[in-house]
Amino acid sequence: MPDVVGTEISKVKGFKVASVHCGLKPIDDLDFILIVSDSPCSAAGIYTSNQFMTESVKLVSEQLEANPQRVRAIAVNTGCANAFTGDLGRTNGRQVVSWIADRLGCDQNEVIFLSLGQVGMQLPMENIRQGIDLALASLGNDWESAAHAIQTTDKTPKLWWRDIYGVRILGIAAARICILVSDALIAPDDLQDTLYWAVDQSFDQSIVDGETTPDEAVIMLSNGASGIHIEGGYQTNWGSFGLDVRLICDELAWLNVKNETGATKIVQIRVMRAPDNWWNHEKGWSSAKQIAHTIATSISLKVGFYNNQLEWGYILAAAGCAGVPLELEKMSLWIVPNYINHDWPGNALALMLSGEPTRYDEQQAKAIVGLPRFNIVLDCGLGSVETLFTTCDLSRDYVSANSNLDS
Amino acid sequence: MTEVNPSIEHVPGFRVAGVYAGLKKNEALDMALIVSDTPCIAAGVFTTNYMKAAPVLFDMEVLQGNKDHVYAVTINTKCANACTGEQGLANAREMAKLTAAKIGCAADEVLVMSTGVIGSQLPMEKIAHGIDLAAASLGSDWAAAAAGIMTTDTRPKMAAVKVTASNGVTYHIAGIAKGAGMIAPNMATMLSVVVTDVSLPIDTAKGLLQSVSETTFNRVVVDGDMSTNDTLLLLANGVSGVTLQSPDDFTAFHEALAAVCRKLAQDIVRDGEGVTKFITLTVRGAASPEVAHQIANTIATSPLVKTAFFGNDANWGRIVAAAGRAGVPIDPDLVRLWIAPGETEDFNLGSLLLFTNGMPSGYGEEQASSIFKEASVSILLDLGMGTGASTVWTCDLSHDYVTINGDYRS
Repeated sequence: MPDVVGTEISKVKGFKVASVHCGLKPIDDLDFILIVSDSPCSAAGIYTSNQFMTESVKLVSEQLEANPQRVRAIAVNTGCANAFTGDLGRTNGRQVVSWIADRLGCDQNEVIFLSLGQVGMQLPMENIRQGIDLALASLGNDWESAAHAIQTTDKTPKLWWRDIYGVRILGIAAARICILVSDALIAPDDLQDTLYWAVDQSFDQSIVDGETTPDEAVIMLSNGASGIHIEGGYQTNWGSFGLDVRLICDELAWLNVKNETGATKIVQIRVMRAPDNWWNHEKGWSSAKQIAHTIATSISLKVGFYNNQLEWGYILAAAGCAGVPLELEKMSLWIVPNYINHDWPGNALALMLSGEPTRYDEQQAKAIVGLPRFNIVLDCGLGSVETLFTTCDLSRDYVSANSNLDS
Repeated sequence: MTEVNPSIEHVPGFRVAGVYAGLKKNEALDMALIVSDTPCIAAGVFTTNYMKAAPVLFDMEVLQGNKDHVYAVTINTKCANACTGEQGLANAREMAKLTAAKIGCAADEVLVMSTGVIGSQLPMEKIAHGIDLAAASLGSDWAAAAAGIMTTDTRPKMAAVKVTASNGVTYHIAGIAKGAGMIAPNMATMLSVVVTDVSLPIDTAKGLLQSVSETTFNRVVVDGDMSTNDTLLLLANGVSGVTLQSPDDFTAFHEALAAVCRKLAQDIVRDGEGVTKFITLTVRGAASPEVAHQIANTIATSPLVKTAFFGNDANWGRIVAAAGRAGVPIDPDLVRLWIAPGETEDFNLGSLLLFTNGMPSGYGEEQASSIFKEASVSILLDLGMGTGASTVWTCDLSHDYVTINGDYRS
């Protein structure tokens, strides 16, 4: 079991971090971070599935493909995504990597650099150069500021860490990015497997608006400074380490959804007993995931939640058009206030049982949907596949914020 | 181009009624009945949602067994009779039976449609009352029938064409439709009944209806959700005597039917909840039409793209990013994006190139802005990878959509 968890952090062994403002965002807002490790790190990355992957994400994925075992630094800028920037964008990305590598006295392959923010504009190179100088001069342990600096459209910084078996894992996340660092000693392949699983179970199951943007990435660096060796295989500490990474990702993904523009409530969708033997090959999704994703991205449903409406028919309609064969007579639907706990189905309100609507109490239903957090449980009654997705409502503020009308 | 009339005068052999059965508040018309004096060929296209409403299951069953002597369609609003279990199915049957008794035909010669709230049972007393009223007031008031099937629509939707066949005889095609909000690709959430006095063999009717719905109703995208109740019905009573023997006659009918359905489908988009923009989106150069359609749907249902349109924001980045997450391989360097004012799939005149070679094109901001401010905007996305193409019609996502959806249940 973990020793401590929390949001206040002193340091992670062997890592230093700096966050500065170099003029990429307006009004003195932090917009550039540099994380440096004393010793080379194993590195793993999960990248956007959007076909228009940005130049910076492309470069990072190539670097980590070629050299996942000796990464020394990661830099991130916000305010400019270096997206749709063509050859010049690529050249600029490499240049920044080169500058940092020179200053640190390490190889170009040992520095990775991600850009987030506005698309279609070239990187302001002078600003970034200044940012590098400023950052190198202020390396320390201020992870909270780093969490703040990587924000783009989100409103609050997100940081979470855990200690387990003498290993510390820390994560910072924002709308488009998550960076995890740890002092565990772990081989790159094992780290990649761990990260893949953790992201699949957390970020991939947290939906804000279902938009997969071209600049998204999750990167993990592990420098071995604790001396604790994590190895794959049975009866090792890999399982606990993996679980902890996943729990941090869960928490960060949750915070991402909770802090989304205008969201007033978190809705978790549990899909149970979905058909086995059905698979979305393009995306690698199970039947339960496909159904949950369709429900979690339903605009009408989420607008309804915002308005404290329970049009539960929309839940079924969404499930029914996910592409997975379902049978109405086998389906049951509940809503549950707050958390689903071991009391299930104790405080759950059944809306439909085996295809027949129940005579549920409208007032009770309304009360549950009005809560800042509730769950939907959909039992397909066909197989054994299940999943849990997290999403939020869709509000007027979301429309305002994304339609530029209020600026 | 076939000229389509936005109102319907009279279709020989058909009588209709729109009545207030007591389902809606404020004495607004809430049921409709369409009756043919002579037996009709009937064909239907239904939602592909796995959660099919009772009226859909009922109609599919009827059309399975009997396609050439259908006499009537009864339609109610306020209650979709969906997710209503055994009781719901029994009620759908009862609705057909009550209609049959009133107009003098067999119960399996009547089709039914419902639209409205999901999960509640039909108020059968009121339904019975509505059928009584409607059967007693059959005539040519198509506007009342169109109004009687509306839910959140702000105006009734009708379309009619007259065609002169090669033998000099004139025939009619007319249709009513409803739908506004909770609309999706693949047989958009909506109800529509199209009638004609042409004589059609059943297989021809089925084939034509399927193909026409693909390029009209299936192209409509409002908010990306698919209903449990979508239905498009075609009834042909043959009263005109026209039988479409020649290829020219067949083509003329096909075009006219498509014109009626296109008008109704586009009206649904224009009348979408809170809509401020009509968007014609064409994707071409895809590996196949299905791929093009998948990409078009992803763009058309993207909350970020739709809110950008609401804000008159020339946000090519969101359009391109949406295409990139459609789950289809794309070569970013081959993608090109144009916009133009109005409703066009032809991009030679008045269009502006926004994106090419993986980068923004250096277009003039003012010209882009002025196009995006229009109430009607067209987008063309060329993938440069094949010849597959698809066009969809959609709209923006506005503050009013969020507000209207919230009031629906009351």
